[in-house]
Formats: sequence, C-alpha cells, structure tokens
Amino acid sequence: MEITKIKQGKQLTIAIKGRLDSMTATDFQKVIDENIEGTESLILDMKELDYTSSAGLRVILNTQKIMNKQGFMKLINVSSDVLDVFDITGFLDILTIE
Amino acid sequence: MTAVILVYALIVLLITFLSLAEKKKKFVSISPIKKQVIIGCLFAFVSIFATLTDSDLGDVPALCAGLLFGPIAGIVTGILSAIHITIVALVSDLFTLHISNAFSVVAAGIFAGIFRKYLLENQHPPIIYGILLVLISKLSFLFILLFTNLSDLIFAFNQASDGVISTLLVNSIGVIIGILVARAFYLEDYKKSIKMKTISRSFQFALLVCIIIAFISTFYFTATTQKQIAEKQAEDLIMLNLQDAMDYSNRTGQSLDELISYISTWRIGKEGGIIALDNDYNVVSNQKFDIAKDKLDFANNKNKFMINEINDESFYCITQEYQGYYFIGYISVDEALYFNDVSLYATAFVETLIFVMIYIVAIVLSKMLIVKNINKINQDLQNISNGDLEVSVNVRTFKEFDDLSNYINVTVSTLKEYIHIAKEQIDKELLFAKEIQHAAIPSIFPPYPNRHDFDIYGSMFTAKEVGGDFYDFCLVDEDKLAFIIADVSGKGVPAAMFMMVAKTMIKSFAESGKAVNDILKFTNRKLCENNDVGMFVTAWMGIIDLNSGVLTYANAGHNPPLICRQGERFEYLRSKPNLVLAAMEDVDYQLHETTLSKGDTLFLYTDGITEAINEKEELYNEVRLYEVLNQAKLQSMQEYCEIVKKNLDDFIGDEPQFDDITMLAFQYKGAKKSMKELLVNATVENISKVIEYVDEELELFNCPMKAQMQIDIAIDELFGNIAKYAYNPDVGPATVRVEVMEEPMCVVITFIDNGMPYDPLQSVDPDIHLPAEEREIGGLGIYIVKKSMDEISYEYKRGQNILTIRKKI
Repeated sequence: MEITKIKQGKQLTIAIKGRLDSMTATDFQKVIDENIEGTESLILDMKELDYTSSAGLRVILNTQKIMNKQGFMKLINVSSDVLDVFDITGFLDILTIE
Repeated sequence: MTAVILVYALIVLLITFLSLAEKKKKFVSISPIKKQVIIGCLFAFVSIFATLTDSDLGDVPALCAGLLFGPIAGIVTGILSAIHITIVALVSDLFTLHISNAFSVVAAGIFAGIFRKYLLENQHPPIIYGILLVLISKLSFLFILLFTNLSDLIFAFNQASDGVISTLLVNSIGVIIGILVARAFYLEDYKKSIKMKTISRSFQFALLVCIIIAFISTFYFTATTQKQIAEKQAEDLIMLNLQDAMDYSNRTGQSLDELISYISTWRIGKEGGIIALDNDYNVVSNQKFDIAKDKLDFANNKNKFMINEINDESFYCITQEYQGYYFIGYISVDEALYFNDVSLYATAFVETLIFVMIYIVAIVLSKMLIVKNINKINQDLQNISNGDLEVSVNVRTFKEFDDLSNYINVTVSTLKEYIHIAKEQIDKELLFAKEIQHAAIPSIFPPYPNRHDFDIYGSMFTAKEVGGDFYDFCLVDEDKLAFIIADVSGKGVPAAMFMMVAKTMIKSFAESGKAVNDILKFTNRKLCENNDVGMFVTAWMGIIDLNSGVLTYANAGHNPPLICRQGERFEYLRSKPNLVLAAMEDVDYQLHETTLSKGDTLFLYTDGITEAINEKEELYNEVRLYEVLNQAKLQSMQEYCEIVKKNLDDFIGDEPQFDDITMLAFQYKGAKKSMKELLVNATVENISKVIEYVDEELELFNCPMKAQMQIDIAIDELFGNIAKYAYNPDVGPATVRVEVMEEPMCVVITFIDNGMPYDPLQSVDPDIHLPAEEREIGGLGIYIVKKSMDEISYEYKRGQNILTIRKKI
C-alpha cells in the first residue's frame, strides 16, 4: 500500500493506493497520527483504494472523530465497492463523501 | 341266591353297555326322550327276569333306570314290569301280594325319577339316595299289601314282615352296585363334582340327617307309646278277665273246684286264657302247659304284669291268688301287639312319605329360591370376566339378591372407570414414547445447509402404535456421509427402545470410521449380547465418499433401495441380503460398492410401504413404488418423499395404517470442482499470503472482482482474528481450505485452528446508526463478513474452531 500526502497549510490531502487491511491500516494510522495535528481540513482520496477492511474502517472512524473536533474531513473518489462497505456498516451517515 | 347273582350281573352288564354307548356317542342321533324310553324297556326286561326267577329284586331295575337315566326311563320300566307282574298276579293265588309288588315297582320308578330330576338335577347320585329309594319302595309295597288285605291282616302282616331285613339288604346292594358301575364310567367327572361342596348338597345332607333323626325319634316315640298302650290294654284285659272269672264263681255260687274245672275253657282273645295252679305250682286246670316254673316267682309277682314263656310262646301274664289257688291270666304277645305292629307300619309309611315330601320340597325350594338365583348371578359374572363389561347383573327376586346385584354392578362400573383411566395413561405413555422416537430421528432439513454436494431428505410416519422404523445419517468426516434405513421387528415401546439402542450403536461405530459392513458386523454382535427379547433389525446402510462418488453399502435383510443413474429410470439396487441384525452372533456382512455420478439418486424405504394393504387386501408392492418414482423425476428429495407418501395414502384409502412408513431419499450432486488447503502460522503477516493463495484459485474460476474483494476482506477479518486472538499470546497454526463447488458455482473457505474456542458469530452486531462519537470500534469486521458472504457457519469440533464462509462466484 502506498500513502501519498499533500499538505497545503491547514488542508491535508491523503491518497491511499492499494488496500486498507490489518497490515496496512497501521501504516495509515501512523501517517494520520503524524500529520493530523493542526489540520483543519482533511481530504482522503480513495481513487486507488481497492478495498478496506474493518481495520481501515477503524482508522477512518478515529480520524473522523478527531476531525469532527478540529475541523472537517471528506472522502473523495470512493469506488462503488468501497461505498458498499460504507453503506453496510452505516459509515455513509458518519462520513462526508463526494 | 343264584337268581340274585344273575340279576346283579344283568344290571351290571346293562349299565356298562349303556354307559359305554353314551361315552362313545353311538346313539347321539336319537332324541333324548326316545333314548330314555328304550333304556326303560331294556331295564324292564331285567325286571321281568328278576320277577320270573323269584329273586325279589323286582324294584331294583326300575330304581336304577330312574335314578341313573331319567324319570321317563324309570316310569317306563316301572309300568312295563308292573304290567308283567299284574299278568302273573292274575294267574296266581297271591293276588294282592303281586299287585302290591306291581305298585311298588311303579312307585320305585316314579320316585327314582323325581329324585334324579329335581333333587339331583340329573347329576350322578350319591349312594345314600339309592338306599333311601329302596326304603321308600319297600314301604310302599308293605303299605299297599296291608291296605289290600284289611280282612286278613295277619296273613298280610306275616307276608310283609317275612324277611323284611333281607329284602332291604338285597335290594340296597343291587342299587348300590348299579350306582357304582355307572360311576365307574364317569370317574373324573364324578371326582370333579364332589371336589367342592355345593350349597345344595350340603343342605341336602344336613336336611337328610335331620329328617332321619326326626323320623327315628318320632317313630321310636310312637312305637314306644303305642306299645305301652297295647300292653296296658293287654294288662287291663287280663285283669278284667280274671276279675270276671272270680266274680262269676261268686255270683253263681260255684265251688272252687267247679271253677277250676272249666277255667281252661275261659278264652281271653284268640289264644289267651286262664290257668289255675295249686300251692305247689302244679297245674290243676285242664291244660297241658309247660310253664317255666322258675320264672314264676309267685310270692313276689302277684298281680304283676309280665311276660312268660308258655309252650315256647310268649304270653303276657298276670298271676292272682284266690282261695288258696293261683290263677294266671295270659294273652298271646303277638296277638296283643298285632294291631300295634300294623299301625306302626302304617305310621312308618306315612311318616316316611311325609318326610320325603318335606325333604323334596325343602330341597326344591332351596334350589329355586337360592341356588338358581346364585347360578344366574354366577353366569352374569362369568360373562363379565370373559371381557364383556357391559353386562349388568339383574337378579331382583329377593331383597338379598337385589342388593347383591346392585353391589356387583357398582363394582363393575368402578372397575370400568379404573380401566379407562389406566388405558388413558397407557395411551399417554405411548404418545410420549412416540415423541421420543421422533425426536431421535433427524427431522431438520436441510441438515447441512452449507453442503451443496448432496441433498438428503427423510420422513417417517409411524403407525398407531409406537413402531421401530428409523433412518439416520451423519457426516463421518468432511468427505463421507453415512446413511441408514432400518426396521425393528415388533411394535410398541420395546421396539422403540430397541430401535434407540441399535441407532446409537450404529452411529457410534460409523463415527469411529469403520467400513460399512464392519459397522453392521459390530453392531450385530453387540445387539446379540443382550438380546433376551428376541428382536431383530433389518437395515440397509451406505457410506458415500463425496469427493469420489464411491458408495459402499451393506444389506442386513432389508428391502433393496431404488437407484436412478445418469438420468435413466429408477431401478432396484439389488444385493444378496445378509442376515438381519441381532438374530445371530458372528455374522459377516458383505461390502458392496458402486460409484455414483453427479445427479444420481437413491431412494430407501421400509416394508411399511411395499406391504401396505388397501381395503381390497391388495399390497402396494414394489411395482407401484417403482412406477411412482419413475413418473416423478427431477424433483427435490423432499418432493420425492412427498409424492410417494401421497401415492401411498391414495392407495391405502380408509384402511388403518398397519406399519411404520419410512423413507430416505439421497441425491449426489457431485464433487467439488476443486479443493486445496494451506497450512500456515496464524500471524497477521500471513494474512496477505492467505489472500494470495485464495485469489489464485478465484482467478482460475473467473471470480468477479467485487466478490473477490469481499472475499479478501473476509479473509483479512477472519484470519486476522485468528492471528490476534486464537493462540494469544502464543502463535499457532491455522488451516485454510478453499473449495470451489458447482451448481451453483461458489467458493467455500474454511478456517480451522486449534486455539481458544471462540464463536465469532456470537458477537453482537454493532448499531450502525449511531453517530460517530458513539460508534464502537469493535465488531465491525465480523459484521462486514456476515453481510457480504452468502453463508457463514461455525462449529467447534474435536478441539478445533471451524469457521466456514461461502460465496457465490
């Protein structure tokens, strides 16, 4: 899995390529931890994301909770398969998706 | 004497002949009345012979006929011999004698018949009755003799009393012989009948004893008083005559010598008179008398009334002294007592008659009032004890019987109540046993919902009573399915219990992995060990290897199943049956083998189907089963069973179901397309390895992307869980098995680990509608898997967690 991050002032864009599974989720979490401070606007680009497991969902959820306090988060370019997962798990209501 | 013996002999012969003929049922066709008439005639011949030979046994044949064979026989004998005797009488001098005989013969026959019919109720007579009848008939004879000879009573009396004792004896012996001979031919019946005392017999005996005592006492009393009266009269007569003689002499002024000279002509009665004796006790009157001088104690016996022997005859005497002489007035004892004896006989006869009447009436009354009613009640009770509980006892002739009837009816009613309750109890228990039987048989279908390589369906419809049919199946291991159908002999709770034992044994041997013929062999041995009840089980068992389709089977005396291969017709899969189970120890069962292809179907059943009977008593038969299955192809296993059941029900119609109807249908759907297994350490690092391993297989079968993604997620979640928790804190192995099935194409992934028992399906689904802040972290993974997979199942078996997911691809 590859994580690309672009920081523009208070806006952070993270693109994930590959899968978010038990292994890669921890890496993702690390990236979030390192970069979330001070971010007011977080954008997750899911274009290259194949799928996410519950580990990934956990990270996303945590991140959303943090961003709810300090700003705003949205997901973009979510594939339909991943959308399905969000749907099943009720994450559609929690996340902002474009 | 010889005549007597001859008559006895004739009687013995005749009774022997008649008894044998009766026993051998030679003359059953003749009506009983005619039979008695004939018997009467035969006895009449004996009677005539007895009369002709002067044996004085003329009454005995009539008595035997009446007492042993019936009143009609007795009367016939009596009348016929009476006729003969009358004829003899007409040409003889002793007319009245013979007429009396004739009368007594008829009386004998009549009385004997009455005794037999009313007192004995046609049973075999006790000996006392024979003797009694002889007495009665002899008394009748005496009485009629006296009655017809009132003018010459002395003659009649002499005839009568002549040899009375010997006559009685000889006749009694004759009748006793007759009774004993008859008894000899019915010894068992006789012994049986006297085994237990009856009211009647005891009453008769007691009454007889009382009557005999009464008779003897009254007779003795009468005899004594009458004798005393007679003697008193004799005494008075003698005294009177003596006085007369003295007076006469005084009045006529005769001298003593003149008195003495004619005193010998003085008559007292016919044979009485007066004797004159001088002081030295010499007879001075003109009589030649031999007086036993030593018996005359004159000094002390003056005026005393006593008996003396004069010329060897007995006389009543009174001695008086007169003017120096002794005068003895005497009168013959016989003469004095003559009328006394006659009246005694008459009294005896009348008394006997009266007592006999009383006896008969008492007996008959007791029978009518008591015994008959009791017998009627006994008859009703016997009907009740034979099973007819609706009978009610209705003898209401007297209060005692009315009470008895009521109490008996109440008792029977109460008993019926109890029986009803007990029966309901038994029905409840049978129902309970039936429920147990049903519960023991697999009834949940489909039994293995995650298995698509076969379809199996069984159904059992028990007959009214708990039966012993059963079917069973189990997955011996992942690849082998064992199934069996069986029929226990017998019905009811014993059959059901035997069925449970057999079923359990077979299953445990099957799960231990034995070959199918060995399963039956060991089961048979075990069942024989404790089989005291003599039951046995027929069984047909098969084990199919679901990978290869190879079916091994064995047959213990059971009906051949039907098999439908490759879209052909159903045919019977016949094999030579081995012996039924539990019949004999050490039976070897032959292993048969065949290979099933995809779609092949087996139909197993018990003889409750093929041997079902309809109203016309036709059997359903193997042919009908064959046809109904062949007409109903391409159905699910459940539908096969239902179609057969419907067809069978239509056939049976209203007839009650006699035997259990049991069937098991099995279809082999074909092996998995592929199967492979990976054994790795359960670590998070190995998740991707596993995913790769599975993806390889998925790509081979052109699995759609989305499905693959979902499967990958599932693997991530599930294998991840195992890695994190199963062996925590250690590391352990896990097996991942991938199988691809056809129809419909799907992939089945099984995760097996030996770690802590954990059922992921138990976890509660998270509430997906909570806002972010309130969302829980955990539980999401399994939830995703549950939602994205078609099936997920878990079991913990033999220390292993086995988690299976299935997805159509």
